[in-house]
Amino acid sequence: MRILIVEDDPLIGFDLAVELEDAGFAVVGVAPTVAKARALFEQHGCDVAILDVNLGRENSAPVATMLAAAEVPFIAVTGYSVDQCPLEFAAAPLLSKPFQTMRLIAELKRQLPQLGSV
Amino acid sequence: MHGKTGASVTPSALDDSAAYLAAIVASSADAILGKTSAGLIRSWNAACERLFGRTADEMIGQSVSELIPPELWEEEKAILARVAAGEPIENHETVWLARAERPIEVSIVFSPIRDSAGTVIGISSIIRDISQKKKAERGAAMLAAIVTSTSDGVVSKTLDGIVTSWNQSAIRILGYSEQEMLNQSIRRIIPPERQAEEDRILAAVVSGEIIDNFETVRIRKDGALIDVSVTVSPVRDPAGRVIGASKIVRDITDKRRTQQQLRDLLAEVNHRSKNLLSLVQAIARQMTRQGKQLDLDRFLERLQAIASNQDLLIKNDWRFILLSDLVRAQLRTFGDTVGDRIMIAGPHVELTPEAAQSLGMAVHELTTNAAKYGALSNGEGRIDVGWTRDGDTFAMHWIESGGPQVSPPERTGFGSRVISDMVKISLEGTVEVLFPSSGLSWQVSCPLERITCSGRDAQR
Repeated sequence: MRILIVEDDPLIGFDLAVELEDAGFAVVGVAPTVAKARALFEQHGCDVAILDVNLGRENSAPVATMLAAAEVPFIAVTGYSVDQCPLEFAAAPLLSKPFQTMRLIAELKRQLPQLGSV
Repeated sequence: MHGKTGASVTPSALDDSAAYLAAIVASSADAILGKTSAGLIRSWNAACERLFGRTADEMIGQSVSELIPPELWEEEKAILARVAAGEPIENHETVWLARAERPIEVSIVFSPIRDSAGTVIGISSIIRDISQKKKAERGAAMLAAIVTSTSDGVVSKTLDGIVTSWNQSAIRILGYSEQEMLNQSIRRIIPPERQAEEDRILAAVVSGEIIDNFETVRIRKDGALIDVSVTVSPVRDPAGRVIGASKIVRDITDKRRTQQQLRDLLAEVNHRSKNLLSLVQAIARQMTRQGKQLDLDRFLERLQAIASNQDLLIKNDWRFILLSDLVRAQLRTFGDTVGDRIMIAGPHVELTPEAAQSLGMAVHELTTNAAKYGALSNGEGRIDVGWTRDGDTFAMHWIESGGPQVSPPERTGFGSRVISDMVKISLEGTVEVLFPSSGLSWQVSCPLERITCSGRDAQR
């Protein structure tokens, strides 16, 4: 199961990648910007994605739109409260930071049953 | 009684008539005094006694200048001359002095007193105390000045909503001149969908209520909508009947903007603090992988390293960190040896907050390692820290020499993952970590735009 991580914090992104690899995912890449996320997706594609809503000076709403158009499921993670998130994330499962890896994986499985067992 | 019988009627009638007039003067509510053309007081009625607090006995025979402030003596002399020449003077407003030189504002009517031949033989002064009236006038002028100069729009209107006054700030806030609004309906400044507000406001005013700081929206002359706070109070006539309304309109655009900024700021604080907690969690998780015990001291040192990066970010309004500042901050513990055993050299590079965190953690790990096992663990080791920007490429190195002999670590801990894997992923670069016996060597290369603010801005 190939997963794309969009996260601007280098250590959090690195930690997520390590944790998800341990859980059996193939990490396509860690993108700290919308441009990088787009490039990684176009180059490698992915089966699922995890999007940090706020990427410093931009937000990942364009990535959400791109993934929705490609029918790729994604989970949003954020430090914002739900009502502070852009509309693009209204329909997406939302995980509030900080969270445990177990919860992320449980959420991936619960929200995206088409993943089956990873 | 002497003289002719027939003649006795006239003097008696004259006496009666004089006594009658004297009684009127004596009992008049206005102070009336008579004086000679030269200004000597000849008569002083009861109202004079009340007004000036001085008795007739005290005043008769005195000069009228007793009652006049010295600086007005010349003026009084000129008036006396004019009246003595036969010219009455109406309602001359001036200041006279009561007992203890207390000034009173007065209005005086001066009239010449003529004998039966028409010759002026004296001057009468009817004096009215106008202190209260003057005070009221000054109060009204003060209020008018306040209304004119206040930064709030102050408007009055009838109970039908017709504008009856429109001050300077109302002009500034709403864009309509006084001429454009006087005798016009106030509804002109109310957006169509809010017209019902005016019905409610007028109804409240009629029933004597005050509407306090009602926040709403109004339309300027140029069509722009403006956030305002409105306070409406009933205006009553002396009998207490509500005859109109006064309306104070305050422009709260700035207040609204500040509130919005505060909300944005709080959202940002929420986001950043939770991100920071995630970061702490990530560090703890990575430090305790594969059942390893948490080294609390190292954990706290790492939090300290992140905190010192944050201080640098705040210094530059969270926009960038200078790479040289970052390196120096992380090496601060060894501050005395910078420039002697530690060489730092490189061009001006403004790091994005994310790149600063990545490189900051890497430098922190390298420093800690050098202090424990490398060039800073003995007295003579040296470190060469430098970076270059060559076209679109950024390169940085950390090369140790002169420390104890080095060999590659047996297993990769958190520190080695930070300086290699994390940097590689976050900077999309190449990282080379070598352990020649002379000392550790760490070399990074990545696209310049991945780490600098200017590169990133150009890209967006």
